[in-house]
Amino acid sequence: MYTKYLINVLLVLAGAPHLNAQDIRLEGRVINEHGEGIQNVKITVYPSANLFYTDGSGSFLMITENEIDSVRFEHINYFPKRLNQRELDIDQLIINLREKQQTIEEVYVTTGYYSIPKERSTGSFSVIDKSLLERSPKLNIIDRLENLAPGLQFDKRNWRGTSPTMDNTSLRVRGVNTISSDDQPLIVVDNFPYEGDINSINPQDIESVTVLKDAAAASIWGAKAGNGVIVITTKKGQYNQKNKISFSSNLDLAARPDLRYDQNYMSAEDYIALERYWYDRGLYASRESNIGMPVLSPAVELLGRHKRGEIDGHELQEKLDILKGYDFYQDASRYLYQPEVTSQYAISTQGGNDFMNYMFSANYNKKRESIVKNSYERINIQSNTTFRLSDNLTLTTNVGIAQQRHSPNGIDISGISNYFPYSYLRNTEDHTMGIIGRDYSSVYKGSQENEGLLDWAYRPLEEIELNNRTSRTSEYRINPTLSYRISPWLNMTAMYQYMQHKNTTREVVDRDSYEVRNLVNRFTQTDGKRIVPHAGILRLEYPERISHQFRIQSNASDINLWGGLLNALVGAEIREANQESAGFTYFGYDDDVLTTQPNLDFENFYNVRPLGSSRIPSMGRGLRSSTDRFISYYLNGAYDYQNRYTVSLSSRWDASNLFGVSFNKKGVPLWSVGTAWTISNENFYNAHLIPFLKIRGTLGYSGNIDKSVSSWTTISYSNDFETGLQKADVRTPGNDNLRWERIRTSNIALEFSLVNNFLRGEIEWYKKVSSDLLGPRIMDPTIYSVQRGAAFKTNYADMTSNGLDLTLTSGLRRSKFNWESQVMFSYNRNEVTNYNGGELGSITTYTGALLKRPIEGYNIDTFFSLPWAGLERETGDPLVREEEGLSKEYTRYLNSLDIEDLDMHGTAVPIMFGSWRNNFVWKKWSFSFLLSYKFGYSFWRDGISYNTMISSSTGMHRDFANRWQDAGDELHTDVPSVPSALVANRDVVYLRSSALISRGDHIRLNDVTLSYSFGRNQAKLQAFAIAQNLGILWRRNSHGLDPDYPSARYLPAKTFSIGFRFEY
Amino acid sequence: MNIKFFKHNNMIMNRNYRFLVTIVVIPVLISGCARQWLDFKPDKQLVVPATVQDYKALLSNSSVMNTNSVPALGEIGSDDYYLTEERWNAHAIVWEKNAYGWEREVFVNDDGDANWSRPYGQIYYTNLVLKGLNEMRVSEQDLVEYNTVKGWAHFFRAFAYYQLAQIFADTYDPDQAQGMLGLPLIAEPDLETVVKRATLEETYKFIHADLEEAITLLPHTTVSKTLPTKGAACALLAKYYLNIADYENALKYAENSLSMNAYLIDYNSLDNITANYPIIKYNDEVLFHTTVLYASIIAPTRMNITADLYNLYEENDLRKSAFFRQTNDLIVYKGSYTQSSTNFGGLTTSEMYLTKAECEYRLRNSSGAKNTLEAYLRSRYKSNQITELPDDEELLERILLERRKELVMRGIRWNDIRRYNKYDGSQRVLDRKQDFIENKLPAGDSRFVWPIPLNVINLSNIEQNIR
Repeated sequence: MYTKYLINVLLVLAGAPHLNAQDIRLEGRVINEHGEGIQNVKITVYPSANLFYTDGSGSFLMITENEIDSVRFEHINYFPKRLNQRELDIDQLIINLREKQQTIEEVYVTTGYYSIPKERSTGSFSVIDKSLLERSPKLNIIDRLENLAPGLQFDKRNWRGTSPTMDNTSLRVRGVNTISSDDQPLIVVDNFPYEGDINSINPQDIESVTVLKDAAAASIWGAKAGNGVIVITTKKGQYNQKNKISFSSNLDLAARPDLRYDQNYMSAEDYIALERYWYDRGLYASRESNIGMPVLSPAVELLGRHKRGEIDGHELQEKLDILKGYDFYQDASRYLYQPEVTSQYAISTQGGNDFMNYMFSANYNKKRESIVKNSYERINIQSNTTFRLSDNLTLTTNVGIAQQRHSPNGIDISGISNYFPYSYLRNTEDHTMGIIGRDYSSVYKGSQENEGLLDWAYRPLEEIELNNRTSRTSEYRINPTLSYRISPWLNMTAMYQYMQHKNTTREVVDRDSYEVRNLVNRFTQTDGKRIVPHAGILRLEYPERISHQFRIQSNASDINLWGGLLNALVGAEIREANQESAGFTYFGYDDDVLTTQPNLDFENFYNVRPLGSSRIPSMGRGLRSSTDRFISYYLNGAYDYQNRYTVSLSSRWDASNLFGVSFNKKGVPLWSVGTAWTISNENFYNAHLIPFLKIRGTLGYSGNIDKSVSSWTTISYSNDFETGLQKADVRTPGNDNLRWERIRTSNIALEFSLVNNFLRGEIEWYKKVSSDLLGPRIMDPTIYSVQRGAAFKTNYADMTSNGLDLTLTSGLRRSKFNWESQVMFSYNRNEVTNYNGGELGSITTYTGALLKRPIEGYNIDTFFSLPWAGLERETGDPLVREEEGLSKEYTRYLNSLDIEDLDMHGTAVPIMFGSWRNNFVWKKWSFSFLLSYKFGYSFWRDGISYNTMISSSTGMHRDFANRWQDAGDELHTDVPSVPSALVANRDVVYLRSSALISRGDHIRLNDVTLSYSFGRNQAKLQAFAIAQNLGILWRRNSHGLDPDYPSARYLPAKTFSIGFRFEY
Repeated sequence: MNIKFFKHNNMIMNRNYRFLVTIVVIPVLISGCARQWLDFKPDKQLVVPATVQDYKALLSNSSVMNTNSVPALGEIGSDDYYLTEERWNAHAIVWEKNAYGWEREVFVNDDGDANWSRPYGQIYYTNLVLKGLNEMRVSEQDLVEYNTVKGWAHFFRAFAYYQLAQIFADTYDPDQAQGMLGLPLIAEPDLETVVKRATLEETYKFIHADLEEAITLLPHTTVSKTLPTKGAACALLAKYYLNIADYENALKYAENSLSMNAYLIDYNSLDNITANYPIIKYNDEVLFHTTVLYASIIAPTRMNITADLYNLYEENDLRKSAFFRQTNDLIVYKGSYTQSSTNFGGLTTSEMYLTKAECEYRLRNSSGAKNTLEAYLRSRYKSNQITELPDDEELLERILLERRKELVMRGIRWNDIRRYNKYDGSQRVLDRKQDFIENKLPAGDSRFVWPIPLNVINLSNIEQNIR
């Protein structure tokens, strides 16, 4: 059927009449004083007033039917030039333009499909160029974007200061527009969605980053653009550019993490006193008699021995006094952490001649992480070359190779779960390694060791020495592009990208490690038989991701039409991404001779110590294999009339294999329209104080994908842990009514510059309406009860968000002194307008700082807490306000609450944020600093939790010192008194209450940089120093907490970097 | 090259057309193949169920089908255990405390709805399987497996409804069942179903029909104790009949079940009877393995066995040390057939022996009853030390006593109390005898039917049980 259609098309086209006009052809290049080509020079042909522009190398080729009288060359940063017909009569036209002094940098925005000068765009783009990216020495490109783009927000509520390579930061581009689908922006590297590990990208290879924020900018990415798009473009060479070699290196030093920030600190003396008090009241009795033999603290064990008459009162006191002398935090800081040292080296060369250009770079980074024995290395090689194969055919090939090696062999403080304030890692007297309770009580372990089991003690410092884990990541990206110029205005491009991302994690668990000893002991049978061999364990895991993407696109550029210029492109794209993962565990592994013990019994259940039965933990790792396939068609066009009026249109249609056929059918094309009016280019405009004024507006739709839904009933296979049989779980119950999430974005912006470009600004207002948001509807369990991961996800909510982004740039340029200042301000607020997912039964699930709980009429980030009624005067117990008055019936109270009864504290995410950046240049010195601010939000402090202190080793808090102790204290403290018995929910009504909520508003000094440039003309050398994370200048809370990291154990350390860049 | 003012030749224009053809044709070609290309499984583990193997895998999912199957409410309301005052004060789970204290209102929020949702979750799986099996065409070679899987589905559904009926509906009464409230009978995996409660009569008929079907379809053997056999289905049907006081049929099916498996573990042969869990999981006594819903109040680490129960075991009764451990004054339960702290909720041969003995006695065959009981007790008492069995009324008492001692913490005690109250006219009053529990639970009280979880009532508007 398609063949028939194809033949028809061919026949129609073959019979079409040929245009046969008498065309004039004009070819040349526009260059500056240094001989470098000038991109985007506007060329007006008189008398017809036809418009042309130069390309990236400054070259132009124009063909016009009309007679040429004269030609005018214009560019915003250069003095214009006009040539008459006689002057044009030269072999290979070369036009020299002289640069104006006060230049505005011509900014190009890149969407991954096309690149246009910002002044000709209707959409909302933020561009961060190379020089801004160089402000920060961070190894992760995304981290470097913070505070540099309006509307781009870094949400660090999950940062715990535990994993230094992963920041646990989540991004928001202009707020949040989804509830339970992926809410992270799409990241595009060199024209294609990036499927790898963002840590594989070396920031030094990046030319620019463009953030696409509104529909006109992003809707070309269709169903994946709902959360905004971050487009990363790597450095390229240029035609006719002299070979340039650059080398840079820097050394970053970060202070040792400061554990004194940890709010969960208590002094050994306080803690022992507390344990004694509770011990005497029998609160540890159930833990002591628990047949699961849970860990008891050293002090409680001593108290137990005393109670059983094994030690006398004198000895008890003596031993407790010794414990009081320890300070775990001091030990942890000393033995677990170290200053972080990062060194970075980069070398690159680029250049080009008439028929080719190239860029080649190699980078090496090495980091000694802040956790002792953790190290990280990265090597990047990047090469971008373009060949002009013929006059009309060019081949561009980008190749990127990245290798990372991470050895997380250290242990951080949260890895030592059962520590107490008086635990120690190394004995100060005899320097033996400290033992920390783990899994089972030391009394029980001791008794077992006497029965002939292996040493069962956990010594963190010994483990650090035995750990042997390495994770290697390699990534290959090959991206050839063939571009063919069919006619001066028509270009056709075929692009392909192959990407392979491979990660191999190898862990050798030493035979002497706690893990092995624990496993052997647990599985040792009553007759002494060992089920698990006392030998090493080797764990391997190798997930791999391979993607192919192919795109064919044709661009029509600068077509003269009705006196204006039309640019248009259409294209089709096809994408496949495969993910496979596998892994294996070898028992009885000997690292020296590579032997293993394969014939263990993984089938039968064995009795384990101290209780229960178990299989030997499985050998295999979860096998996964998944394939995503997408087909998309798109088109984009813009018509620009006399540099005054611009109209743009963009549309895209996506289909994928993910959701089922009926779901795809419902996928409507996503589209946007936009318009811009540059008032200052009108003939009637003569406001000299405002030399530039432009208004633009866009409207359009983008989408969001949630891979976890399907219109079909689906099940997923795995092996049943209990029986070993093949089993299946229902993954989705089937839903014929599923629709894509859709986001309608409207954007209105005003751009201006004042007084000879002294002040330039951009204000944008936007509104996003998200509809058909997917989420788990709460179902009557009679019909469908939620199993693990199988919630009934359906279109259940709508929300809107609106906001404002403002950027003001100002500057002075004198011969010896330059100053540039940029202020960014963003405001964003959202509201759930419709929600029919059902109400949760338990009210405390609505209280929490990290939740997205949709409630109609509220911001999705609304921060709820229990009302706080203070402490009781006589006892220091928390009070709750019930209908009959104040009471201590905590459980009854919690169950009587409704959402309306909760206190509201605005949002948990700042609704206003931004930055202020200043650059000063004086002769060869340059100095810069950046302040950032966040306003209009609240955060939750941790609090003391007595119940968990009794039942486990968590829940300690500095607030202990401020607790209620005597009548009257309730007037100046909210910290409850020490309870004499376990009372259900006594802690909850305090920990979830407004007593622990503070305002998050603050201003921070992010960084200060200083640099000095040496050299002349060709060779340039720049030396620089950067200081980062310099701390908070002003904060609204009085607890000394950093509102970005209220629950972190330590803050990101101050970092100091020195380095140089050399260019020749 | 001089300025070029030249005529475009036709070649160039033709080239443009060739280009136009390509940009029109390529997308058309792509969309032609697209449909097949997009018709690809996104995840190898992910399947749209269609084959017998798929349905088999769904029912082989032991964490859904064999875990938390028996509602905990019955065991929580029973009288074999208690909570110390210290633990009572520290216990924060309200519905468990309300159930322990036999309060009229039990649920205060969504917590505890697993008593309802776990069995109904299993019913959803069985409905999905039965719908798929009924709609598919079976090949000759798949027929055996097809029937087995279908039999499993009927069994699992019957098991779930049976357990729910013991908790959320009143004891069966043949004369009044048509007017009494039963359960919502969901037989389709349809998320738009309107939920309403059927009568008790309809509920029991539904369970019965499923079991009849299961017995016809199921094979004698199985690859795992988590998947039912014909013997297990007979055992469940025997249990069903015993529960509605149809002793003839109960006896018939208990005997049927025992004819397929009558194995008893001789406790004298246990390696280490004082060990934490001396009896292994999936042992030969087990006809069908499943567990009682985890509720922290009845977790062995929290609750203690009443001295009343503990003292019923004589010193020569091996179960005393196999099932319990005494530390200080507290008696800890450790006799679960799950070989862990999870309570066993499945079917065993020993239950069939005890059912058989009871039915024999009630059908006036006391010598048969005595023989049956003795055969069973031999495996539980120290060799040749069985306390002598009485006759007449006392024999029934002894049978019921052994039943209580054997089936401890399996979610059976509650059903038995309801049964004795209903059919034997027992007037026993349940009493915690603890200062902090005010309520008592006399025979015939409406609180022997538990309330339906609140979220179910709110979302479906079905009628709540009046207590």
